[in-house]
Amino acid sequence: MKLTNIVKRYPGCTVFENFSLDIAEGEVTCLLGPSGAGKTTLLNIIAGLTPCEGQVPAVACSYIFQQPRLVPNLTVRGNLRLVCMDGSAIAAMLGRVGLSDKASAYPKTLSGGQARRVAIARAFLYPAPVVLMDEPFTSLDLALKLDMMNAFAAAREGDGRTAVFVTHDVDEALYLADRIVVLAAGRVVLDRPNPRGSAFGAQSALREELVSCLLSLR
Amino acid sequence: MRQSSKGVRGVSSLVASLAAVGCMWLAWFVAWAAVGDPYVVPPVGETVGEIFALFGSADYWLAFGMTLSRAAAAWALSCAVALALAALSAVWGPLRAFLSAFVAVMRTLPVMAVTLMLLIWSSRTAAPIIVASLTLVPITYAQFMAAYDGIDCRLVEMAAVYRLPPSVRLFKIYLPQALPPVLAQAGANLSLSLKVVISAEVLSSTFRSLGGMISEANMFLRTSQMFALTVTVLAAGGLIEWLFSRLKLITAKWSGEEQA
Repeated sequence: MKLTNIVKRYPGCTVFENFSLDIAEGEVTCLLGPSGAGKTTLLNIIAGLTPCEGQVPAVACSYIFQQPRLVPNLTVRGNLRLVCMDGSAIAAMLGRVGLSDKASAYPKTLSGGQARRVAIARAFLYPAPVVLMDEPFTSLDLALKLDMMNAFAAAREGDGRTAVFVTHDVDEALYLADRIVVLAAGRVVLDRPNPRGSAFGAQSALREELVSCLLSLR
Repeated sequence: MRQSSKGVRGVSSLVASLAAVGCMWLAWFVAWAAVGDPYVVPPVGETVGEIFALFGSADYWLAFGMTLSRAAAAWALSCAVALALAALSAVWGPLRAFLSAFVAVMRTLPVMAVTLMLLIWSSRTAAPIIVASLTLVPITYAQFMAAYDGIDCRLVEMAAVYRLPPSVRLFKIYLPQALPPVLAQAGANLSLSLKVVISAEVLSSTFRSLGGMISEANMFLRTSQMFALTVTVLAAGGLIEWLFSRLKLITAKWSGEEQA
């Protein structure tokens, strides 16, 4: 997926000026950066929610928003049926994210973590080649965050879809991403592959590099 | 526990309603006793007798049916016009700003003056319907726009990203969110339509109408009949609002308000 010469301006503010980025198919790309760097705007541009100048591939995307955005008048199953009519696929996905017993529950009866897991299940049930995630694990405690990240990994298992996710958390990026891109003021300031599975020291060095890069941008 | 607390709330609401009705009857009784003239304030018992006499009269039911159908026609017409204008305003933003001036003017329409003008231009039967529609259109339009504005834009974005078909968006997202507030107002609107229609009928002495009967009773100083007719109109208005409040409960379940 290739974004070329993206230009996005709001009144009195330029977010992107000739911004380009290549996102490899099947990779999990993480966008890190300070507030106002244009991370969420970039996701919205990819999703087609924010119009811009430049070339953006018109691919179908599923999107895990910061809030779960579940339809309140539909059950968990009903919410998932909006994007997938296959009952057995829904049941299997609910099993993968640990919500088999909540299929008939309404969103209001779910905890915040459960609702986010439904949003993850919905994103992976939708047959789109790209999954976008906007800070899906923000304001969760550590145990729940790990639980959610594992739910994401489980939902993506054997799926191999391209995923782009935005976070402020370096550890989240190191845990999930194949590639980490740091954005600042609408441009790429650091772009590194995540040496997952290699020697402990390699990831540690990347962590240090990312932290010092982010600190220098403050 | 939840069931019993609902029951207690229902009983206390019934007691409060009965107390309010009791207070009104008491005020009426005090006014009658203080004035002491049945042509000015008729006795409660005589008015109750008049109500039963009205219920036994075919003319009353015919007038009631005709007035109610005029009120319903005015309400349906105003809903159709307001819905069309709201749909156009939702699609094309500048129309909303353009219509806001019209809505402001229409809200201040003097019912009596408009009725008199309509009597020149239209029939005694049509004038009450038109004047009630003109009164209701701006109110209903504003309610539709408020319901539209109340639709969660985050869900609209979600629907756009997942490319949900228009029918799914309409029936699963837009209507369940927009209908409860609209229905909550619909009963009050129909009740208002009934009142405006009757006012216009009084002024235009419409044949076969409650307003016409009130006007005639006034002409022949049948005060107790006027009071009886007013009480039946109040009861009809209350019944309409109650029926719509039941409907609102059903749609609240549809929109997810009840599943906590």
